[in-house]
Amino acid sequence: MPRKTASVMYGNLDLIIMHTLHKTGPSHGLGLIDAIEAGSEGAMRVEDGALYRALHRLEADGFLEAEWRISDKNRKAKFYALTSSGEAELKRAQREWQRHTEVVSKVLGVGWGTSK
Amino acid sequence: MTDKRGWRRLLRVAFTKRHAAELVDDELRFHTESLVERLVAEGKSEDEARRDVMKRFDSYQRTRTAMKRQVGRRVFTPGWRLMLDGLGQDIRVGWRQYTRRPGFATMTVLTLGLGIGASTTMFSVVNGVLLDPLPYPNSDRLVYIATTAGGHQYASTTAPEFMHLRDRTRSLERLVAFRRAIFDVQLPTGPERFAVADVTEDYFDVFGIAPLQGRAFTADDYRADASPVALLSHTAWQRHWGGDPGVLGTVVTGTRRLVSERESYTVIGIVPPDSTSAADILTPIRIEGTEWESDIHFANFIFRSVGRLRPGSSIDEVRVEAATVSAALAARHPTQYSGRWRDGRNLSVTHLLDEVVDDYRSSILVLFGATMVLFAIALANVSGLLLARALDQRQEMAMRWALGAGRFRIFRLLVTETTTLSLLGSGLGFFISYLCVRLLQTLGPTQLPRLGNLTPDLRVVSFAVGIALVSGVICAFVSMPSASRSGRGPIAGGTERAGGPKDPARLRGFLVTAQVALAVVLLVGAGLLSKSLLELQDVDPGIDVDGLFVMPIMPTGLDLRGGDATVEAYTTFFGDVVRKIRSIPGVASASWAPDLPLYGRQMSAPAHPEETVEDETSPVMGFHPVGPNYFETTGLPVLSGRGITWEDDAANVRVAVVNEVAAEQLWPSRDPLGRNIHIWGTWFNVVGVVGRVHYGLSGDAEPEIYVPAMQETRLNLQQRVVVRSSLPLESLAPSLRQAVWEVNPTIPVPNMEAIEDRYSVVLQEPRFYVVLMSAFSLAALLLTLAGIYGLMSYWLSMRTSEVGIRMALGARAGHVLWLVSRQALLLLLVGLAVGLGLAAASSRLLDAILFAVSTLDLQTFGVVAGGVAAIALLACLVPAARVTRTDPAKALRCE
Repeated sequence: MPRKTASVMYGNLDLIIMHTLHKTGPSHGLGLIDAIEAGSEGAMRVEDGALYRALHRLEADGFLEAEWRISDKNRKAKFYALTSSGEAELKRAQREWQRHTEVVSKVLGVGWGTSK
Repeated sequence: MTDKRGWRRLLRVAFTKRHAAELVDDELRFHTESLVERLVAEGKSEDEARRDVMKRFDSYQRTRTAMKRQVGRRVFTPGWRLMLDGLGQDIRVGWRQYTRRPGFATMTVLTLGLGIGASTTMFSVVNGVLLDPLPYPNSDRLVYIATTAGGHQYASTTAPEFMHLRDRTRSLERLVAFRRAIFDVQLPTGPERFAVADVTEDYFDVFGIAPLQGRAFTADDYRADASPVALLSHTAWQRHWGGDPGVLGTVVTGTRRLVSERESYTVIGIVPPDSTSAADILTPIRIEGTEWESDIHFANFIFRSVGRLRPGSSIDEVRVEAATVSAALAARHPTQYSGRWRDGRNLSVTHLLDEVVDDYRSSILVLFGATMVLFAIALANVSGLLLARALDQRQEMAMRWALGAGRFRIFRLLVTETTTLSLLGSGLGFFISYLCVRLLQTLGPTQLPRLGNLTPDLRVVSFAVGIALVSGVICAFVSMPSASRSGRGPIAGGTERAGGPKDPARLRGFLVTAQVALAVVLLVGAGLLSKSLLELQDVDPGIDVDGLFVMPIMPTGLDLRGGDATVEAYTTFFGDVVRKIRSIPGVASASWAPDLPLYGRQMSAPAHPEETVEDETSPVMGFHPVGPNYFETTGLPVLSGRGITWEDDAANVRVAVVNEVAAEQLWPSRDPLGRNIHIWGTWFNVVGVVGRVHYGLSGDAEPEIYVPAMQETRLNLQQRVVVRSSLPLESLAPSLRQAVWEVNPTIPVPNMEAIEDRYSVVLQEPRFYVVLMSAFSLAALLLTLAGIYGLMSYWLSMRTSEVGIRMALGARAGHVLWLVSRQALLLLLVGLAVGLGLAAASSRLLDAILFAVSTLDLQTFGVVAGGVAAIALLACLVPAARVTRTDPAKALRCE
């Protein structure tokens, strides 16, 4: 079911971004794409446009803050970092995800069609 | 968002939108250039690399635009705007929902509008009548003083009690007393009856009012040698002087009831409208010195007393002081503080507002409670509709969940939707209540105080908006569990069956049960009140009200010191008036009495038959000195013996006519004729027995004793002349007035009326309660039926194919009908049972306004139970029967 996986991932892109930033520390967009790909051992490729839109949305929500820095190749790049409310949101989203997957796997274990 | 970010955002406002857009390009440029560089390093050509990089975006341009829009918004919109943007989105979503299902939205708004309209109407009454402060500055500091004694709460107090409290109090800034009396004024247009209020010093200061024109009373006006002055009420000034300021300084002359002497007052001012004294004219009275402490003053409960609390003092402090004053007076006047009617004599202290509205508080609150029950039913109904819709929307909700909407976000969406609807409902409700309040003001009982005071003020608006918001949140809560549960369900396909353990239809069933229960409570209330009204209308006043007219007359200029001279003067005056009236063509007979059935009793006396001696247990009976031909005129039937005639005058033996009830109490199962009764030290020989009568519209017929007015020295100053005539009042009134004026041209003849009209005035208040309660319970019943019908239709739609299969397999229609409706029938039964229980528990609240009906009246409960069961059954079975009639083949194809 490749399609469904994609929608689940899309719905949880925010969680993935915040989790990665939490692990790697401040990073620019390209760095995040690389880190996500590396973290999932190549299983997950985030679409570039979706990532930037998500970054900007998260910044607007106050979960991320951004700063212009000079990259290792001496270019001006926008670096993102988790804010304290971002950290809190990440914890909450992780718990929610945990619960969600538990429920889903329980349901999948029993099967969809059995509830009368 | 942290403070730090807030500051940074403020600084960023300085940037231009264009700069923000450039920053987006910078960020994307860094991304693309770095990638191109990486690919070139891997051996691709630069063009190829650029194409590959662009391919990584599903659309580079769209991403860029979206980011720029986001940046622009972030820079220029503060946090609350972002939140409002979300709200706007939610409202747009809500609006789309409703345009898709206009029926649902209309039903919701109408239902809530009805519930909110009814409750807002009654809240307007609660607000305007019970809560609104009286029209005086700091009116919450005004207190009302009255006497309690022998377990009885008097409506007023006496001069000595007032005087001593006034002189000792520390917690009251000022205390005044006023008594009302009648003052017959001679105006150029003829004699007029004025209500005069004699007020003590500080009257204007206690209420905090100033005269509209002229001046208030000063200390000098209260001196014994002061020339008499008066203030006119605004109403009297407008009515009789046309608002002419020239009245100031003129002299008003008339005759007072209490002293029956001609008195003249110089008008010095005009009192503003709405004064508590409710008098046409105010005059000063000084209550000072021991002459006000005589026994007669202690027995004269005619002073109404109002005080103003000192800032910082509480009403409880006044109560303590009042108790101290009562204790001191009890020590000095023990006879006035002991005995059957005097034990525990004390002063009660209440807020003036409570005194004004006290009689109506419980009935208004009961009606308000009824509208809140109606509102709860409306809310349950709307919640049911929302639950049904939530089921329709489970796929949509599942999609929202899958797309990452949080529990809060979905809740906010629901709250926004339901609140928008309930606010629309509130708007409609407010409009409805505006109309209803107008209607109440025209139809409401004239006795209800401050009914004209109902204006939709801020409190009323807040109430309407407040309950709309509350209902929005409650509705969202009710539909939330199903919304979130369905979120865990599949996104596409799969119609789930109703009846599962977590089915929202269960909640819906519960809501319907609750609606039935609440509707039963209201219907029982309406039933009890209606039965009470019927009982009231059935009360036989004992007299023939048809063609009977009454005219209250207070003779002036007579010797009223009591004794034989007074009796003679009265007999002569009323005898002359009655003889003149009888000579009017169309008049059958006429007489006079101090009181009349339906008009309340004026005098009561302890009476005992000659066989016993008077003691504490002697029955108290109505005592009525009436004129000759009284029974013929009123139509009160003489059952045995004779009535009262012109021969029963001072020269003859004292006689009495008792009514049936009195006869039974005095001489159970014996003939009363010829026996003697003892009343107030006088023996009366019983010469006749008359039928039962009702002086008020409450309770059973009471014992009454009638004696000839021409023999009785304890006369009421005001007498009611009764006239039996076949003429209408309009053509009769001028000749009646003329008849009185032929005897004495200075006597005012106000308030002539047909007794039938009095009857409808007396019934106004109970009828008002019945109309309101019936309207509320009818609305409740309709909403409940809609709820039952909706639930039933929903359940049936779930089971259409099942019914089809059963019918196809040969099940009998009756069996299937039972199968599909038994669940609903069970809910109805439970609702009915719970409702009857609640009604039995709560109908006690109606006790004060019920007449001759028990709060647990079996007949009413039975009729309501049967009626609701029958109607609800219909709402259940009609849709069910329709389903069983459908073609099985069609039903099977349904799914």
